Amino acid sequence: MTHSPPPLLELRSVGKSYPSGGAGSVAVLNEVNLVLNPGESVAILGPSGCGKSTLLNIAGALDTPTRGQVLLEGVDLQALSERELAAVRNRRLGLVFQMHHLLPQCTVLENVLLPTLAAPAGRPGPEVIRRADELLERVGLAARRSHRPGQLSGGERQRAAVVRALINEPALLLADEPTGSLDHASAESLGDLLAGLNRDSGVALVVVTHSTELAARMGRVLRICDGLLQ
Amino acid sequence: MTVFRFIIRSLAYRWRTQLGVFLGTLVAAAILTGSLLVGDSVRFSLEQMARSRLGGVVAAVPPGEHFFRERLAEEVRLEVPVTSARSQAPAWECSIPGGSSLLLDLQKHNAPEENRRLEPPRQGRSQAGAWERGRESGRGLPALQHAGAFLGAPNASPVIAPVLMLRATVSLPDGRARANEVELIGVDRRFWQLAPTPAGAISETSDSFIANDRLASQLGLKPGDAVIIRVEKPSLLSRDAPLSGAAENTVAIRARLTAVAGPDQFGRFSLRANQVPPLTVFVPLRALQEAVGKQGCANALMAGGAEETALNAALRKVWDLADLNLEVRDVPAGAGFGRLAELRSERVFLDPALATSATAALPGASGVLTYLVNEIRLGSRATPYSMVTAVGEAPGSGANEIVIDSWLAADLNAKPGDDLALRYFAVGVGRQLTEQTAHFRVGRVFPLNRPSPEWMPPFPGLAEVDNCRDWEPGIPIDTTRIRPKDEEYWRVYRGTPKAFISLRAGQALWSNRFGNLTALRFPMAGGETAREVARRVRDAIDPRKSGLYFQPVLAAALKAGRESDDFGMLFVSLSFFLIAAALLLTALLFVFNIERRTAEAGLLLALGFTRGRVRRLLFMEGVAVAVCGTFFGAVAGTLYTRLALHGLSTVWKQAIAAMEFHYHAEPWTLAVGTASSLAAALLAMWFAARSHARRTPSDLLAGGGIDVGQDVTQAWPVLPER
Repeated sequence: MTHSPPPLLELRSVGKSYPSGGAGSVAVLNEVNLVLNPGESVAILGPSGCGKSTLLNIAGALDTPTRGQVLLEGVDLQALSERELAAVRNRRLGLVFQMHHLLPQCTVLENVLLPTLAAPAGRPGPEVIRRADELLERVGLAARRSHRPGQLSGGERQRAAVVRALINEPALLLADEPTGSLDHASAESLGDLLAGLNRDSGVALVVVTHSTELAARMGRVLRICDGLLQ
Repeated sequence: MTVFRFIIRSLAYRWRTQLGVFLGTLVAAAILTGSLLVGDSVRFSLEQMARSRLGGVVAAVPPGEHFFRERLAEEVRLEVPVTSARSQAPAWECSIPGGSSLLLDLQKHNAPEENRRLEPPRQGRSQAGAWERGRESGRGLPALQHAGAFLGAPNASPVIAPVLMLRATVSLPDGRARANEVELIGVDRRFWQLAPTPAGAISETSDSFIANDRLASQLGLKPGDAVIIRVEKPSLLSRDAPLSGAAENTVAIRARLTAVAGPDQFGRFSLRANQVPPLTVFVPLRALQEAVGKQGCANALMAGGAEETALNAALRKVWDLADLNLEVRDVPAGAGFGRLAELRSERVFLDPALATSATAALPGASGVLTYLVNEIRLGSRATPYSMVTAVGEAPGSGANEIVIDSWLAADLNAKPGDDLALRYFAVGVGRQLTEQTAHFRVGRVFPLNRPSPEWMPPFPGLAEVDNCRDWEPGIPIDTTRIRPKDEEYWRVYRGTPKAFISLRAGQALWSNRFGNLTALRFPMAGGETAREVARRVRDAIDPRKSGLYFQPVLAAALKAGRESDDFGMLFVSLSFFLIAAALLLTALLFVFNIERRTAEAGLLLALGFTRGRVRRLLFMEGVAVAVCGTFFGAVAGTLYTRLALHGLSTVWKQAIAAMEFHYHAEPWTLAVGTASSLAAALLAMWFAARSHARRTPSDLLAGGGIDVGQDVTQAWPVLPER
């Protein structure tokens, strides 16, 4: 008898509500269930304010659900300590934000290497640096490795953010409106990059987006409506 | 990419915000460190003043009421054991670079006493240079080291200088300028051996004198100028004491200025701590002794090169009754009390503490109090100015009985049972005298067979004159009342008392703040000589009780300096709100910096940094800024101190009585100031960082985007790009 491996990400009846003054609260997510296997890609669509980013933050261990469970590789994230959660974010998850969040004081390469400072050693080895260079090369930023974010275009910044998310070889890449602030050409290019990464590297991908074009490149497309994932 | 590199990058990028934190810590550190250094400088300046004031004088017998033998100085010196430099070297001796060669060189100078001169050492160029520099600059420290080295030299004899210290007025011969309350100090070359550096030689017999710079400046004196020094002839007995002799007896000394003593040359010499230098004149000891009639006497001793305890032990061995102006003498046989010895004082009244010690040590001792009464009256008959002695228990039946001699009985036509009225002066406040009357009943009349003037103490102005009309006892005398028969009595019987009353009755009338006995009489053992009795008395008396002992003046002066008001804490207190404001500014700017980096903190959390690590990263940036701030603050603090001292020496000069302050920083104070400032700044930051809300990463990320800064040149390129 063999056990099948647990799904990469599983959301079980996840709900999230926020207090709204007095004793009442506003429910953003209700009974969200999701199962994502390794190598899968999913696009989550929905109107603004429907809870897409909230769902991604919960899946990325940046926020906690009001109810329900979030399991990453079979491990309940709510049962982990802060230190363990940080390790999960650092080693197993990659996050790409709409506002890229590159640090202006660091070069592109330093921004890419930033997650490696979170490790106890606090210093990236030569292999990591080589990997960073390869990734930058792959996304067309090799010539920009020593540039500051302020010297990059919007698309370049977002590609640098993707490379930063991939530096620790995560199992799951979570992207929140990655093309939201980009022009059409840059959005197209980034969509190609994400789809290629999912296809070539086997990294699972969850993309929250308004863009149906980008969503169409993903393996599955889900919609959030009234707090439910459909 | 390393944590260190990340911190440097962040500091360089946000230098404008960090500059505020830097300036806040700098200001706090500068004020705190600077305030503490003001304390250091004040303590150092007070210590320098004490050393400049006392030179090599470690202990001193300060001038008091006694004039002791000048030779006592030499006797004490010979008795003080020669000790090693370690045990008795003044503290500052340790700071002489290459001190041993200097000490040895000075020892050569120390050998023949006649040739003792403080000259720069011939060997050891650096020491000689320091000596010269100290002398030229007048700063004092090298010179003080020189004196200290001399006195602290291994196997060097202590130096003990007899000094005659009096108060005088000094004026120019033409009367154009005059200085009152001048310290007139008679010294010999031993005194100058204790000086930081010698002011110049003054011959012991010449009419030359040395003025300190303050006096020279006040009178506009320069070498060669003549002055008139007026000094009141010292009396063994206070001028306030009854029967202390003529009230005014000044002498004038004409002298010519040979040198001006600066601060390094005992120009500030004084046994009393005073921020303002005294007005001082140094004259040859012998000349002053002759001028004031105190040949061979001194009233103070200055000692260096020996510890106070050793000096006092030596003094205890060699002192003599004469040093307390006491003498023991045989009372001539037939005085009516058997073979007796008498202890009496040239100061007329026996010091009460001393009399108590002697009485306890001498079995059978009985007190004597002899006084000059203005009048003894019986009815219309009166006898003026007679000595009356109070001694022993009350004769006969009562305390108010009086025993009179046959001369007085005849003069007053008195007989046993008559009531006699004694009029006398009682001492009031200061020199105030009030004439009072006491009544006694004649108990007995005794025959006056022979003179017994030994009952009378050596009243100045009385004891040494032949005629009653020449009396100058220091109290109002109406010489017209003195009759020929009184003169005849004085010629034949001198101070022989005409009457005796009980000691208790006498002390009730004539006790005063100077004493209540004029002599102590005690029986002598068979065959015992007066010399042996004197030895017995001497052994029974502790000269310390009469002020004849060395006091550790240097240690006391240094202690007073150390224990003076802590100007450091005073300045810290005065600057407290400034320091608190600077720290508050530091904390606020630090928080402001953190608040501006909310999204960055959220990003770091999202990338896998723990909350503690993010906090540490931000805090370490603060630490780096605070370390730089406090370092430069400490440097600025030294400037602040110099500025404060400059203010004290100029703008606030009147507030500190013209004291001179020298900048001085103890490494420990610098360390404490810097560490305290750093700790305070870090504490402020820590509290500020700690109060930062524990928000989730998503909240922090939602707090705002990270400004990537289009103008990258605003960051300082502190690290190469990579």
